[in-house]
Amino acid sequence: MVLEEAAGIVALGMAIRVLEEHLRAGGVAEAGLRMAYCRALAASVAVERRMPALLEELAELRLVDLVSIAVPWRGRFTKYAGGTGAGQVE
Amino acid sequence: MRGYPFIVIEGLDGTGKTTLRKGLFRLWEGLYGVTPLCILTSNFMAADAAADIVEGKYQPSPDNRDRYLQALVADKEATLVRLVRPALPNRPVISDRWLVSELAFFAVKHDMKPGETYERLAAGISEPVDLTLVLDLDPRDSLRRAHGRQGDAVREDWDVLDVQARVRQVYTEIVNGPAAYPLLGSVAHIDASASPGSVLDQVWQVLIAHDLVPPLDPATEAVAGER
Ligand SMILES: Nc1ncnc2c1ncn2[C@@H]1O[C@H](COP(=O)(O)OP(=O)(O)OP(=O)(O)O)[C@@H](O)[C@H]1O
Ligand SMILES: [Mg+2]
Repeated sequence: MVLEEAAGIVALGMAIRVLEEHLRAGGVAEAGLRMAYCRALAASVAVERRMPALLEELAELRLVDLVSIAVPWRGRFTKYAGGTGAGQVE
Repeated sequence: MRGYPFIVIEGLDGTGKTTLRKGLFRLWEGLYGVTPLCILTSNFMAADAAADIVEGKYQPSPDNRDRYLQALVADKEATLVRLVRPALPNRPVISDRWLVSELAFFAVKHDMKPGETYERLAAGISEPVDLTLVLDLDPRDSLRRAHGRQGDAVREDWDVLDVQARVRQVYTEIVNGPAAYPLLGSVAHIDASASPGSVLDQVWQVLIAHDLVPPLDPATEAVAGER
């Protein structure tokens, strides 16, 4: 279940970046594209509160680095317990 | 013309202000490549005003009313001078509540007309907002959202239906006659009963309609600060 949730977050992050590319390439006029992007951003806001616990559950798996930078979230640039410290602001 | 907009999000407790602020933050940063500065209605930038703000907010009385108003003016002006104005050439500023919330507080707690409170605040505040977004929702639904949230305190003398219904009346009055409150900038009514994604989309369209977002031409992306 933890892996499934982690994979979901990575996919969400990828969806956000794909949508951003389309929007920059002239897609802002498309209501469906705009809405898809807004829903993806809202989903990233909703997963934010799960991130610290999820990263904790992923523990020593190298996957923590990928998951912690996949979507924007409040603690993205903080050092997480047990992690490698990647993604920290110097 | 200054570079980026000063955007304010208002609405009853639990209407989704913080959720919208986080969505807008991601929209600006992800799509437009600029990281907004987020502030609150009180930022404790004027040290001398701090005690009066805490007392006036949590123990409102006729005795501390005017001191509270003065403290709000001092704190907001210091916030404008020290945070908002320096940021705007480079990034948008998003405030989670600003003037409308104070107008509602003084209407409910001190029986002051919004216009009267506004005049007192406006006397010492130098910078207008570009866009005030008012998240509108039936107070029964906003209270349900506020109470459903994890780990957040709700105030017993404030987060109750009759008080929230009066607050909403003040908001509605302001949305219907924004010309009386020039410091609010453009005032937009947002239907907060929609899903978080759809609220964000509504607001995005308002930003586009008011010409408050930079163009998304990929060629000009690198110089998004120059508008
Ligand atoms: N559009 C929405 N639809 C359904 N639920 C929402 C919506 N927006 C926010 N929520 C949920 O409602 C609750 C309150 O949202 P939020 O904290 O954003 O409100 P707020 O206006 O900032 O409240 P407060 O004034 O108390 O700070 C949260 O649990 C949030 O996930
Ligand atoms: Mg909030």
